[in-house]
Amino acid sequence: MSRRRTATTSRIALALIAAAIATATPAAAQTVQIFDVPSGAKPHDVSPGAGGMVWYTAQGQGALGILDPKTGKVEQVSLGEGSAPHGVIMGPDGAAWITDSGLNAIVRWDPVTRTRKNWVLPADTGYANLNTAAFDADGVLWFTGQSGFYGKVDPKADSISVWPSPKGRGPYGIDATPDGEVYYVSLAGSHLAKIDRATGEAKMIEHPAAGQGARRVWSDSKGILWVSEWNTGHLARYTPATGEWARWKLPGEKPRAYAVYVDESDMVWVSDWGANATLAFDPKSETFTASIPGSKPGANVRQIIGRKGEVWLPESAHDRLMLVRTDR
Amino acid sequence: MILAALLLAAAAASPAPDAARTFQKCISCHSLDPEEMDLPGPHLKGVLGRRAATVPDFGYSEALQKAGAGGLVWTRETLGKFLDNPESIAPGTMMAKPPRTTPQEREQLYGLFSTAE
Repeated sequence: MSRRRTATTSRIALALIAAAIATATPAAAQTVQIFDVPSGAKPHDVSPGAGGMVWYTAQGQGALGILDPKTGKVEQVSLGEGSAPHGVIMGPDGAAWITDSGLNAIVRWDPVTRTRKNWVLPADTGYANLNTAAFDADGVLWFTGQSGFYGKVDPKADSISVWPSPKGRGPYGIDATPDGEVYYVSLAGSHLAKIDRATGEAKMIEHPAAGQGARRVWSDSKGILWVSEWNTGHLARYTPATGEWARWKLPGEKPRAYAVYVDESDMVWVSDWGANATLAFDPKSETFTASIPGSKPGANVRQIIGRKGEVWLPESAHDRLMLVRTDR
Repeated sequence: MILAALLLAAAAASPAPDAARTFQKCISCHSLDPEEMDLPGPHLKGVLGRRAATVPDFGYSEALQKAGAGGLVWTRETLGKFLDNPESIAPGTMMAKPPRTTPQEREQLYGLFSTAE
């Protein structure tokens, strides 16, 4: 049973701030809007949800957060004792799929029935530090566990499988390309890997820079992969068809690239903890074209995702979600 | 078996299997081997008794640097509070809230930190 809790502490719809476009060619006017979530929620990841809602993982409170961007109303649904959710995505079934490191389980929460189902990792796996998930072309959910694992949940077969990752600890961000292939990156292992969906084998794709700390990965509309490098502060591009890599250093003295996301226009967004900002990168001009500062110092944006005209930035340090509107 | 071997190798100190299993809660970001420098967190060899933010060449947050400069030393008490809630010790630290650990597991971890070779 889900325990429902309405967030009375949430302040409703908040500041509409003029865009802070810092650099050269602001291709379009952008505005940002801030939404407060309950104090202590520590929103880690965010996802467009069913019915126009926005979901987030309230890692600090063991809950799935549900924001109505039209009204600013926030609700949090408890995921159970011990929960510490990291990632959330919306599945092809319209449900929220959550990588819950505290429960050591993949959690599906159905927004229609408001019920949840857990797939707990096999006991001999131990603590996997479940991280992030993505659906492949066949509707199978693939996930990473930062302690050194990756795995899948097959909803049709109602099964969960886990494999040790090739270089042990590190599997972090994961994404599927438009044709449904699945790639993940290893933060501690500093590599990109492609999962053979038939066998479950992960094949490492070595990165040209050792020790770069590949943290998250996202595919563009053509299946080209973009990688954020935590240790070196680069944005990297890998083209599977040719095997070619390209890299761009983020501006500033000591950039640290955490999250990466590619929007519907193939604009690349990357959060930089060094500058406390999220940057837009235009692949055509190969330049950083905009910088959206955190709403307060040390916003710690750990993930980026969006939907048409919207880019969402969870400010984990400040219990806030930032919406960047890209269609105005 | 492969998994157990990986964990033990990563723990570097060949601890008892139950301690290695407990260290699995830290292993994503930390090592017991000072030579491993490309991880998100600093190595934990000898951390008890160490002033905060003093592993050479590790990129600490300003928050932990400030705490270390202010005299924070990692003891069972301060490390315990940090593990309960990192923000309570160093507001603004990059360390996310770690997984829950029981008192017995904490003792296992402190033992590992002390004995790591």
